[in-house]
Amino acid sequence: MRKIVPVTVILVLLFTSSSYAAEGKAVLYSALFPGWGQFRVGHYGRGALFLGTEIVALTSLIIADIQYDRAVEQYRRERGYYLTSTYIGDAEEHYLNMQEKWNSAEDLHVYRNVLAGAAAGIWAASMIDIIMNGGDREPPLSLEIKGNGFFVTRTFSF
Amino acid sequence: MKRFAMLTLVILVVSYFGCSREHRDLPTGFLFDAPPEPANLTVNPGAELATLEWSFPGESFGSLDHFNVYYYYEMFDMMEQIGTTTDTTFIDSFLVGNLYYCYEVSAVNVSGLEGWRTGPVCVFVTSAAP
Repeated sequence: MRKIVPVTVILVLLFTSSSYAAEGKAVLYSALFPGWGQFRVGHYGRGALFLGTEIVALTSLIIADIQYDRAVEQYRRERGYYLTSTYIGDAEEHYLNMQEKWNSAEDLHVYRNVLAGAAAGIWAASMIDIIMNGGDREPPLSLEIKGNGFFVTRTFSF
Repeated sequence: MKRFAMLTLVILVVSYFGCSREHRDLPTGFLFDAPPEPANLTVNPGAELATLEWSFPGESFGSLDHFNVYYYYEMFDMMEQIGTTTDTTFIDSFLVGNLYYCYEVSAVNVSGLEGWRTGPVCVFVTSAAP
């Protein structure tokens, strides 16, 4: 998990220095966080969808990562107890505990990978969406003068 | 097309570095070469002493270092080591009479690994004649 942050920073730097940034700031904003770029171009529905699902995925990923770290710590502790046991009863008990913790860590590892994949998938979908549909920005506000009055029109697109 | 390739690469890099596996090296089997459990533990009570005897497989004597002898406190389900011996007998003396004493015995090999302890065997120890 600690490695995600520097990798993300590198990616952001890559995007800011690449030619993609020149196509529009919306792509950069979506690269920073899914849905942000969509909000910028007025696609509030899609923006909320990407933003919400990404927040849920990342929150779940962080929780799973913390649980995984705990399971690994417990596994290492039980492994240490097992390897230093001198009585067969203690060794057997710690061996069983160690296996249980290893299985738990293995399950959480898979769960964490699935969540990381989901978060990355949402990010990729958001990027694809903003690259494909980012340019067709509609004016969010328009003013039309009619006789002795005027219309103010606010446009939402989803 | 380059964009999609770039995105795929980015996703793979994030997934790989973000979710590294830190619980490798699971020992592949229960490797604990402990000596066998002593058998036929008998305790003969005497006046303020108890004599313990047990049997042990002859083929395991080569790797045997010593036997551990324990008191077993039934009320608390606890044990206390009271001595060691290299023989299959042990005399516990200077006991307080008119009390029950429970014993367990285990074998320890030359590697320092202790095998299963016997079940507790209890006796009533009498007082010495005045």
